[in-house]
Amino acid sequence: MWIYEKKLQYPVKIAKPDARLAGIIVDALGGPDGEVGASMRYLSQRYTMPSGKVIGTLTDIGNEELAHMEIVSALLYQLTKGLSPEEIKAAGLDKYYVNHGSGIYPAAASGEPYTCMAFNSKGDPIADLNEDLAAEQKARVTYDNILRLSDNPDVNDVIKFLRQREIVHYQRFGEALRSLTD
Amino acid sequence: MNKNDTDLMRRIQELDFAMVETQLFLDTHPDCRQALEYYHRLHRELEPLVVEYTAKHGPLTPSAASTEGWNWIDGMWPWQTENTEMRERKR
Repeated sequence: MWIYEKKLQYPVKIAKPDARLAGIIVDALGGPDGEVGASMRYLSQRYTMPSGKVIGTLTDIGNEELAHMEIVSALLYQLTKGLSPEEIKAAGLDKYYVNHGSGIYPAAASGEPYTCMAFNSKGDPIADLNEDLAAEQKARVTYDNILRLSDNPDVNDVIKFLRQREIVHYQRFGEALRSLTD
Repeated sequence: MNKNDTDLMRRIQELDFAMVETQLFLDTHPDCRQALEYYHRLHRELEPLVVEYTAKHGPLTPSAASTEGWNWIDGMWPWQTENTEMRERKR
């Protein structure tokens, strides 16, 4: 079972709102390679894994991804808090706003709601762990793209942390995979 | 796991669930002293049972892992039973 801790894994403190950036960063929450999908992927796959080492790795990384959902959500909240409909419209976030207002909703930047179709749980440890390795790299690329599109230092500091975690997870999944094949 | 240990886990689950239930009640009744006292009483009863369980069967949370070795990944996971794992070995 789960226990919630009332703290972020990494601090988020954005000095000024930026709706345009929020419309891009939402992809890291509910996009095909976003944090919601990452968490659901690992926490779904772990049940049928053949060793404590792999089950533990998927449990702990899947759990950390829940904390990353919260970090990205905190970014979205702080980037949009207190903006007027005019400011939202000027930033091109009106299509999100008409449905969700200032609510945090897991969707891709292109507007598609989060879907589990972006991941699989195959019941095959080799297939699943290879998907997980690819997923971490794809998430890393999304964060690289966000860094290319953002010049906000407060945002980029948090994105760099999340990007680094993708690399660490990739390393651990590689070790988990090799623990089954070598 | 023998009957005493099954009973110990059962008691931990009961206390844990009672705390969850009381927590929800307190969220919407934050001024209820009776519920507040009940919540903390449950927690005081739960803590030593978790320590006892951890000593016998390993950690329920990673920070309770042994200082002698990383036993977080050892033993059964919550969704496994002796029955399912025996079937796995037979396959």
